[in-house]
Amino acid sequence: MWRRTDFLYGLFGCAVAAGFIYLGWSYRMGNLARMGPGFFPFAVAVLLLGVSALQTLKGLSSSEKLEGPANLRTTLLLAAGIVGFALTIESLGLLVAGTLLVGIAIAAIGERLSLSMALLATALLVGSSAIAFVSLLGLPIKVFPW
Amino acid sequence: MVTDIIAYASIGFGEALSLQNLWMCFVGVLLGTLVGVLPGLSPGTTIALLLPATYALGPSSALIMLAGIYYGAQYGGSTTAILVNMPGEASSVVTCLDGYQMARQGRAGAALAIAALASFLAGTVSTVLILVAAPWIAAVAHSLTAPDYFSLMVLGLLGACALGQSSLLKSLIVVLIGILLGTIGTDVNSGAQRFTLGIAELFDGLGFIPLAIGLFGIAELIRGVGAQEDRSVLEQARGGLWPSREEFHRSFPAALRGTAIGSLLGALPGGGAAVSSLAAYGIEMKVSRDPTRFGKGAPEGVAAAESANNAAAQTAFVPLLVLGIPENAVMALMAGAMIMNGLQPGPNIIASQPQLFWGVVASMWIGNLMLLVLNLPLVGIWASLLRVRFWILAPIIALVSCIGVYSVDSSPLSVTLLAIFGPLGFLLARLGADMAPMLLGFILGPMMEEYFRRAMILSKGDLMTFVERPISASILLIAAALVAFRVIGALRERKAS
Repeated sequence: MWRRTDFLYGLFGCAVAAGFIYLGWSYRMGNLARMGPGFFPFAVAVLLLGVSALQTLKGLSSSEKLEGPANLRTTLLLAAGIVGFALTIESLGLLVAGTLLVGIAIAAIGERLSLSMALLATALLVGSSAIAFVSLLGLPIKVFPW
Repeated sequence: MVTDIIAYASIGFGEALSLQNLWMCFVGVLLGTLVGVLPGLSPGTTIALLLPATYALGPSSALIMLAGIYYGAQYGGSTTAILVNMPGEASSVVTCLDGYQMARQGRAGAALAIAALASFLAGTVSTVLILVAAPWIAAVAHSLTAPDYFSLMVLGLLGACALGQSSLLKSLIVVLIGILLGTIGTDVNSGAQRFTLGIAELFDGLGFIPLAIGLFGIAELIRGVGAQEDRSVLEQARGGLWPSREEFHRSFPAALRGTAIGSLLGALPGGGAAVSSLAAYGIEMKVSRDPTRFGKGAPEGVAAAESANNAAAQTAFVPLLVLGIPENAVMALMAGAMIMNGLQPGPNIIASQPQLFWGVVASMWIGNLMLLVLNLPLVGIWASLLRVRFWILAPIIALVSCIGVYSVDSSPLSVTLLAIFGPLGFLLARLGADMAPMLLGFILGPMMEEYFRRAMILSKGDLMTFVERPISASILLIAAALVAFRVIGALRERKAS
């Protein structure tokens, strides 16, 4: 049951709907002629709950399995790299944050590269992106840690 | 009528031929060809990644460049389809069928030329079609009222679900989640905070860029890891570039039919390049005296598919620019680019921004001309790009995603959202979701709420207003027909199996 895609998909929809209904419960509803801020999201969330429940029921009788590899290691590493970038970009600047991200991304892909190759690729990529985005496009991003 | 068209064309070419816009058009079609050739990088992803960078360009140049990426990718996708039997884009899957067979018979050059010429023909015809039809559609659009607009958006979303790759229920779930995500932030009417969890960065709403880049760029990156990489370029002689007389005679009518089908399907909700090339190929097989030729190197198969996808890539702009309703994920990204530049897509665009509108239309024709020149002589260079490995692309995508998102509002929180939406998009794709409808829902959601509110104020809370007004009722009827069509199709399939 827990590997059936259609079933899981329906459950996911139900969970999102429940979350929005829970949060939106307290917003002022008003009525159709004078809708409050809570009306539209509540109506959509209830609709979502209905459609998702249907999908969950349908999923009980279907046997479709998950597609493709899980790539769990890639997903977690990459997410960590992105969060690392977010945490360091303001304080340490693009060179440090970018190197951190690209380094983790290369590790996340799982391609066997020699250390020197990986370092060279990282330096090239971070350097050229700093030039392209900050020097050429003029984006206001801190580059150096100081 | 004719003088009007000439006037529009001259406004358009005046704008599109400015030095900056010509340059942006060139950059766009060049990038488009590049991502069309490179598998694992779709035009949607590229446009999402480049959205932040176009911020400084101004709306005309930004749209001209982003549009160039979209139709340029159709050209690039056909190159790899023919030479390596690998569709760079979903829309060139059909081109593989006959294009690669032609290449194996030593007619690769002719196949490439037919693909390029058919695309150019389609691009020219659909540009003229837009010149003729857009003002007329805009005039009709001006007489639409709030309930009509709400129904049109319902049609747009249901159409995208019914014609999409995923099942109807799954797409509906994704659309509704998109609409809900669109309600996050300050309610424009009451000023109340909705679903912000007290996070200040969410008061202005959830960012479109982190959502789009997460769902497309990052999710696609994760999916690409571990995917098969098989790229043996055909080492056979390419043959002359010029199609033989027979190939030409077979291709020309097919390209015209493909153009007609693509122009029509491209402008419909849920339509777009991929659906159109499939439909055009199917029709070609129906009208052919000898359908067994298809799949064995029939030039008309290449011509039909390529003309259809290119025509569709162009007319897909009509619903967005004329009605303000994007019909597929790429158009939702374009809508995002317009909104970022302070323009609300809708029927007023033609009247209030004639340079922008006609400039984008004219640039499409110029871009097609550039593509013709870029593609045929340089085909060897494009083919060699197939050697670019995924491990080189992946870190670039990751870095450009993060820098792009951060540059929009200098907010680390927006970057963190990428770490949520990326894995989420990947997970949902593994569960069989098509992410395009979520983006459509997110873009259309706030507009739907507004039009729904207005319709309800006008009708004093009577929901029957949507079916009592003739225009709105007929639009909803079309939407219901699309859904019914899909449901019946699915039921039949189940019975058959």
